[in-house]
Amino acid sequence: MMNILSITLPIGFVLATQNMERVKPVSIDSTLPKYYQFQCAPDLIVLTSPVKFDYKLNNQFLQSIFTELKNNWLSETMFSSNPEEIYKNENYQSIIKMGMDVVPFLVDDLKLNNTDWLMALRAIFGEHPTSEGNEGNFEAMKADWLNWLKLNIDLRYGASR
Amino acid sequence: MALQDELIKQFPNLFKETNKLTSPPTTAYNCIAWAYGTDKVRLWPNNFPEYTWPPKIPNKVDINAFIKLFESIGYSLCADGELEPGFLKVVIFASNNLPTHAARQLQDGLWTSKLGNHVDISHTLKGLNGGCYGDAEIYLKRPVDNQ
Repeated sequence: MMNILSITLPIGFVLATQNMERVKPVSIDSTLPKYYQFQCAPDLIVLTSPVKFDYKLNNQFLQSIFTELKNNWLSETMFSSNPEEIYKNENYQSIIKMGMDVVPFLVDDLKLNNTDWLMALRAIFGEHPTSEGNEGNFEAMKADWLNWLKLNIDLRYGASR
Repeated sequence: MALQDELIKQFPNLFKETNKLTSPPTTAYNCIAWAYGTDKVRLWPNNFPEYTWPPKIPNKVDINAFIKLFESIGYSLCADGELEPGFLKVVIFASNNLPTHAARQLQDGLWTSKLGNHVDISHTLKGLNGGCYGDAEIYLKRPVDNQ
């Protein structure tokens, strides 16, 4: 079944597919008249800048995609204990494909909600900063990752600060 | 969707039977770990270092590997999930002959389950049967004092 994202973006954003075809808005959100509602398969989306670049709006755009994918992923895997199902879920994989841009959201969500972004961080950074003996221990692996991020990654311009 | 709605959707028989929510959601442990007797790690045969699996147990997602896991801590196969004084029991659920879940029996005959990365519940076997985990298929037991 094709997974369809529903994305709300401020007017001024252009949403395009990988073929550079513009995705037409489905509707103007009645509660937010300055926002368009788009629907698109997540793996077809190219992240575009708004016509007039604005950091806050760009962040809002990424956040809306991240939140939609995360909610779909949690809903589809919430009772599974199998990491194959959890990590290979298409929503989780789409979040990984967002790359470095999504890292501040992953870190915030890991810190605040203990959401399992450990594998996504490993996939994005190609690193496995887990101390020996901590494999499988979520709390210990989380601490190892937060320590590694603090030492190696500048998240000043992300959602964390 | 609210938790109760998700539970009804994934386990259609759960609310026809006795059940109780017994913990908040946590990613600290999963169903196999909980049945095994730990709330410190997530256990699953896999190639993901975010989970762990004892090195001497076959690293395959099949019923035999799960049986061997519980045999390694003193359990042996038994016929059913009836309450037997002096024995602790675990059950392995399977769907399409693949293990999906495990639960541990409580002293009152109900079972305790950790549902993935989500909550713990106590329940009957009928309550989980026919849901997203398939059915209770393999039972193992060990003497209560064999820790």
